[in-house]
This record gives sequence, structure tokens and C-alpha cells, in this order.
Amino acid sequence: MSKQATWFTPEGIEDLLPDAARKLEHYRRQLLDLFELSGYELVVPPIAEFTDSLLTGKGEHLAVDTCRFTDQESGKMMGVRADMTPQVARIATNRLKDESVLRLCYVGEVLKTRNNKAKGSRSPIEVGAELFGHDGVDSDIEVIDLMLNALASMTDQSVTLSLGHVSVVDTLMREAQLSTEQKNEMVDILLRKALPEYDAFVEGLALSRAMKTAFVELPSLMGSALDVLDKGKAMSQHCPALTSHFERLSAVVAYFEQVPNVTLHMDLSDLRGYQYHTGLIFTAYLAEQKLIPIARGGRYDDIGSVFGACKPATGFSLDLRSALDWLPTPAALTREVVYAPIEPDAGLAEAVSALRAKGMVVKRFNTVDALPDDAQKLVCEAGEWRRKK
Amino acid sequence: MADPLTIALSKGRIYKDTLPLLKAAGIEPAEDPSKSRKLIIPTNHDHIRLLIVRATDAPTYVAHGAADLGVAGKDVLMEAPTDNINELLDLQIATCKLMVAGPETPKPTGHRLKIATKYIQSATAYYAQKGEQVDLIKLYGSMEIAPLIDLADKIVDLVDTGNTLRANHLKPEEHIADISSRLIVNEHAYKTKFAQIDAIVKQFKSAVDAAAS
Repeated sequence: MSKQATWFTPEGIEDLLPDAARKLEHYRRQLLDLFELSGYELVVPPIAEFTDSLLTGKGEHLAVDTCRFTDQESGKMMGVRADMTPQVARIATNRLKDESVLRLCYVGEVLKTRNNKAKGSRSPIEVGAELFGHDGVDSDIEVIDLMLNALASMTDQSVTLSLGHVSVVDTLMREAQLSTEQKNEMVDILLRKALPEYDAFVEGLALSRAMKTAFVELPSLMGSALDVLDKGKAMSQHCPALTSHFERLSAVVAYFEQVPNVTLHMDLSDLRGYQYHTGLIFTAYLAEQKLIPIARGGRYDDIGSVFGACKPATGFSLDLRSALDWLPTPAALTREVVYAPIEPDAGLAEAVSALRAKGMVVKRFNTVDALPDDAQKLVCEAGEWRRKK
Repeated sequence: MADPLTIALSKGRIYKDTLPLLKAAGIEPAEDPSKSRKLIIPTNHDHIRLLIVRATDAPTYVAHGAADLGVAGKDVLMEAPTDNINELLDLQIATCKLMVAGPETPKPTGHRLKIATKYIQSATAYYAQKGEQVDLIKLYGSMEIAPLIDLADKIVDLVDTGNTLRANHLKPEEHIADISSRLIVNEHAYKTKFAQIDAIVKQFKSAVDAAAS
């Protein structure tokens, strides 16, 4: 390796220099404050855990993304978290299992084995909120509302909210009695929305006439939310088991239709996160970043059976690191800077503390530092420490 | 107001065959890329532009959101990662077949088959599904030479008329997939610019259906 390689960081792993770091910290605090004021309590899960807990249940899809190593204490496999949601779910269903309804929030860096630039950062700084213990539509609405509030606190751009519901596809596949193999194939095709392949797949299925209509129409259940709901109602007639899913979606649309600056989109063949989501899912986009999903989340009920207590759950998260690209730079802190010498003097120490308490920046200096011409200095005059230019 | 739209196309056959479809959607390039060295071509709509890219790169532009839409061969799509890409329409242009081809007079082999190909993912998937393990040798072109000079036993390659195979004493043996160009879209653009993209997709679809009938 050449010498310059010593200052390289791995692909997708980056430093944040002071300007970016200050911006990140500004929004991190702002979001955590908002979550706290909304009743979500902060938890801090560890950076690494046994893979037994990281990758069970709803975490199985993270197997490839999780960096693993052997715990020298126990000989068991450990992993660095690639997503914090399974950790928070473990806390909610094991450590805090006695609480019936729980609202938790978290922020932390996660690490992925692969650098997939098209999918976002390799080491996102995840910040999110999760609501456990309620499976009604009210909790879906609450977390989406919190997500929109979080975005509104960071930017005044308008938002496109894309809604989906993985149970629509699930129910269709169940009602049509597809085999596991057929289900896997259908999910794989829909994840890529490869419509020519989908048409051929549906053509090859033995379906009743009503179910065939429903399957054929599925990919067209996309577009403005109200249009899709209309089409969905017609589809429920072919497959009545879908009715409750459309009722839930209608309730969410009815609520957010009233919210200014939000455009509602719906895509019912969207199977993002199909491995762990169990119901309503959502993604938020901003007007000026139409090709970047800014924040997303959804329902993942029956988590936690592996940890002790089964609880319904929904929540959302966003990556603060990627968000630095579009977050407005917060107004620069205009703090006065005062230079204080390094001297063993109780009065000086007191004066420094007093200035810092007033919100001024006090930098220490010694005789070798070159100070700017107009620098304010703490100088001792007649036994008193005063500020002077 | 209409959102800006960027469409990634490759020069040559795909560009030529896509032009009538674009026209059906009311999109006409302001310049002819075969006569211009420009790689970003404006159109008769201020908000729509074309990117002239290498055929194998079209999915990358769309996956990363540098282009909203693109036209790419199924052969390219089968090799590329599918993240963020929705494949909406078979344009039924630039059609050919992905096939296994071997020497007209095969030589007996005592080892695992050696296959020379540009299409590593497709060849791997094909032989895995056949339950056969093979050694793959990645080449970027002129695959037909490989069996002639014992670099490989067979090749996996696109076959159109079969003339190149015949000229090199090879014959097509197994059919892997029918190939044609597809209209692809960035999945996020498809959500956030749905009305605009849906209109283009529908116009493309009627033009494709009309051409087929």
C-alpha cells in the first residue's frame, strides 16, 4: 500500500468537519427535543450485540449488512448494528415488556458491510421514533404526524407522503392460495416493479375470474391517494378480504388530506421492507429532493415474540448524515470571543466562568499565540479581570 | 408546474428505435446525437432533456437518480443491480436472444465446462438453475474467439441473426432469455413525479401496442 493510504477512510465512511458537525448536532438536538415533547423517551442501545438478538425475528434481512466478529468473552458471534429498530424492539418487548403502550426514540450511528451508494449512506446516523403496543390506525397516524412535524421543524419545503400497505399484496397472495415459491417470485417481481415479468407471472397463475382482475389491476393501484382509494374500493369487490386494509388507508388519507403542504401519493404494490413490515408503510419526499426518500417507516406488528412479549409496533426513522446534503445551514452562532491568558489566578478562573455563563466563548491562549488585532482579551487591571480590546 | 425530467438513452440502435416512441409521447430531441458531440440533448419541452450514455450505464444513471427514466436492454438489466429501478414496459425494440453457443464440432471435455461471457450474472443464474456448475471467464467482446482457441468450451452471448456465430464455426445451442429494450424508471421519481411519468409510460405503451399490431 502506498503511504497516502494511511489517511484514507473506507468507502462510504466519512469524517464530519466542524461546519457539518455543528449542523448535524443542531438538528440532532432539535429532533430529540421534539420527540421528548411528543412523549417519546430516549433510549441508547449498545453499538454491538450478539447476532442472536440482532438478527432474529424482524432482523433477519440484516444478515448480510451486519459486520460480525467473535466475542472473546463468550465465544458467541457479535455484530455491529446495521439498523437500530430491532434493538429498540428488543428493549420494548423484553426490558420494558410490562408497559402496555411505549413511545421510544433513539439516535445513533449504524454500520453496513456494503457500500451501496444508490441506497444511501454506509454509516447512517439514524434518528427515529417508535410506538409500541397499539395496532389501531391512530398509532399509524400519530407516527406519520410526528415524522411530518420533524420534517417541518427542519425545512419549509413541501412534502410528498407516499403510502403503501404490504398486507394488500399479502392478502391477495393468501386468497389466491399461492405456493411459497409463487409468493417469493411475486414479491421479487414487485420489489423491482418489473411489469413485463409480472404480466407473464399472472398469466401463468390459475385464478378465478374475480381474483385475476384483482391481480391484473394491482400494479395500477398507484398515483394520487384519492384515485387509488377509489380503485381500491372497486378491487375490494373482487376480493372482500382487502376491505379492512382500504378502510385503514382511507382513515390515514382523510387525516393528512387536511394538512397543508403535503401531497398524498399511494402505491399498493410497494413492498419496501416486505421482510419485516406487516401493514401500513410510508415514505416522505421533499419538493426539492424528489429522488431521495428522506424519512420512512411503517408497521411491524408481532415483533418481539423472540424476546418474550409480542407487541404491535410502528415507527419511522431518517438518516441525519445524508440529510446534511439538503438541511438548511442553521444561522451561525454569533457569540463573542474573548481570549484569556493561562495564569494560576483564582480571580481569572472566576472571570472566565462568568463570561462562559453569559454565553461568550472564552479561548485560552499563551504568549506564543498570535491573536487577531481586534481580539478582546481578559486583562488584569488593579487586581480586577476586565475585557479589553 | 412540470418537474424537470431526464431520460437516459444509449446511442445507436436503442436511440433510433426509441425516437418514434418519444415522438408518440410528444417529445422531440432538439438535436441529432449522431451529428452532435453533445451528451445532454435538449428537447422541444424546456423541462425534458435526454442524456446520451453507454448502454450498460443507463441503469446506473436511473438507480442513482441522475436520470428519471431510461431505456436499457434486458441483457443489461439482468446484469446490473436492481436497486431503485422499476422496469415498466417491454418496448419490443432491439430484440435478440441470450444463448449458449458452442463449436459446430464439439470436443470432448473431461473437466467442468468453461464458459466465456460478458453476462456473468445471467450465465451463473442459468447454469445454477440447470443444476450445473461451470467456470466462467469474463470477456468484454469478441466472445466467439474463445472456443476456437480453447480459452473456453462454450460462450454465453447475444444472438441476433447468428451470422457471427456461423462465420466462426459456432452454433447456437441453448436459449436462455428473449432480450429486448425496456423502459426503466427510478422508483422514487415514479412516486414523486407520478402524473408526468405515467403519461409518458401510457403514450409509450400505446405506441408499442400499435407497432405490434
